[in-house]
Amino acid sequence: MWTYVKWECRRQFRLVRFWGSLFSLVLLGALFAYGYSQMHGQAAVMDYVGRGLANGFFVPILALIMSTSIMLPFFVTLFSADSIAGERQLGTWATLLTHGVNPWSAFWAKWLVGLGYGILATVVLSGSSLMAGFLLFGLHGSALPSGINAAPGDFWRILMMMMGYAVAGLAVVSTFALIVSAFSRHAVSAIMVTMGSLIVLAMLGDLPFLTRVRDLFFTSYFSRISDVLSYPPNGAALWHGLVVYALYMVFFSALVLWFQPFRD
Amino acid sequence: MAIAVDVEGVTKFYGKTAALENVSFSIDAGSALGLVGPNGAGKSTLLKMLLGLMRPTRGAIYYNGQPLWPDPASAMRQVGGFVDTPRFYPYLTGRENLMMLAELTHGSARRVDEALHYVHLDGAAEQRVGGYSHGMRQRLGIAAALMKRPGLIILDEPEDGLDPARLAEMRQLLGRVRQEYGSTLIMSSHVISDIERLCDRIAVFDNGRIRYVGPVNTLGSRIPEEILWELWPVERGLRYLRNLGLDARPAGEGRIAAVWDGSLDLGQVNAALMREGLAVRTVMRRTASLESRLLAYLEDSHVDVR
Repeated sequence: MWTYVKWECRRQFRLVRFWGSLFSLVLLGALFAYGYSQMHGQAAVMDYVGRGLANGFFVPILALIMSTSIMLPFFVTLFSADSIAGERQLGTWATLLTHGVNPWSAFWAKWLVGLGYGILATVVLSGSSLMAGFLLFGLHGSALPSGINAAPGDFWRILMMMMGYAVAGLAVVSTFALIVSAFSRHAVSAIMVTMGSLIVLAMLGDLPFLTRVRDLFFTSYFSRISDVLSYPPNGAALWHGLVVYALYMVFFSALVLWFQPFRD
Repeated sequence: MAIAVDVEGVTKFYGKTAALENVSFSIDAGSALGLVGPNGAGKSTLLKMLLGLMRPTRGAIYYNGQPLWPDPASAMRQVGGFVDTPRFYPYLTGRENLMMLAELTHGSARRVDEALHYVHLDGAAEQRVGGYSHGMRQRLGIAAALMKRPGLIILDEPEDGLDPARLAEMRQLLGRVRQEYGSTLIMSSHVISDIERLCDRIAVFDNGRIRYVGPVNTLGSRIPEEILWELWPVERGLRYLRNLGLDARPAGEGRIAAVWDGSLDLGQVNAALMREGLAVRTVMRRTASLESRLLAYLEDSHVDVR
């Protein structure tokens, strides 16, 4: 499997779209910082993010809040949904199978690489927005939405937790996209199904009568990130989210194990 | 080691449509089977199943007595081939594509270089596959198959889309592979002369069923040979030959063709024609080609052979 991971990475590094997506994320981080500087002092933002707006730490926090529900999953979906379905479309999946490559090795390798991409995307977005935030506002202690003053060390911890949580969420999205991809003949279908499902889930969460269901099953990045921002962070809520994520992963893995959709 | 193949009652349904119905045949290790038949007859479906790309709805496939399913990946380590056009990553070089396949299946770099050399792609090995011509991709596909030293080679229309020069090259390459590797070969082709040249057995497919499977030379063997006379005047010659009880017909350009079952002595017939005052210029024996035998066979089976 590690040989496959090596070749999968090597392949991705040759693709312009891989580097293009990372460049877009860098640009996105910088745009968040610029947009943040334009929102300076707006009450609605202050209520949500916190009062210490003139703080570079808030830029990656805001960037993650804004992008973990749709934007980052979109990048991850494009990456993972294309993996098996894209290869099927290109015909290289058949080449691998006829050459005796174990499809499970290929699947798990693609899963790991997809996960790696999710981590990379989060780090690139957070890094670029942090860098731009630092240049615009500097890094210093500030007030959280709860009214508690947090030192720079606390912000680092918060940022790390948010990144970790975003990565966990992206892992679920990436796994879902990969599974849809394993069942699809065309990359576009896999991307549309994955993105469509994410949008529908996000919309379901907004329906008042589904609030309880959403809290139980559709754990969302937003709610968990606000739990991270509480001081001290809401550990029980975070664990609940992680357990739900884990259950999704188990369910997705069971789907693949049951159907083994690698051959026609 | 060459692989013997047994296909037992293989059936494949796409929804409610049967692409293959109860197909059975066996081939000995080291022999070559050519699959022929109209488009949509089920040849590619069978090849996909033989390459482990598709599960049969019913029936089983055995390689050297071992069932192909449920673990086709291990069997495929000794099988080389492709269905349709061989596909590779266009942004990797030819060598990188083969290296990847080799490393993923514990092959060696030496075999990659040997295979590239064998198909005369050493010069283009460091070029990206995206820049390869169709013929080069076909040869790279054969190189990918050969680097496993396969016991069974499965090829689906390997000459498809090649210009005459590349076609001749491909024929030569396949002949060499057969001779030097001694692998069992299963190939489909619309170029019947290639099947005749490379294969010792033939399977005729139509509408998802096998109409015939057996030695190439016995397909349609009841189709008799013909004698072709170039003589003058044609009308009188035609009358005379028909009077002899021959099934003679004008064959154009001053020629007469007659089905020859060997019941008459050809020398005596020619002498009699000359005695009748007919000017016989040439006499030629014409054996039915595999293509015409195949067409006749399919027509006899009431098959649309467009």
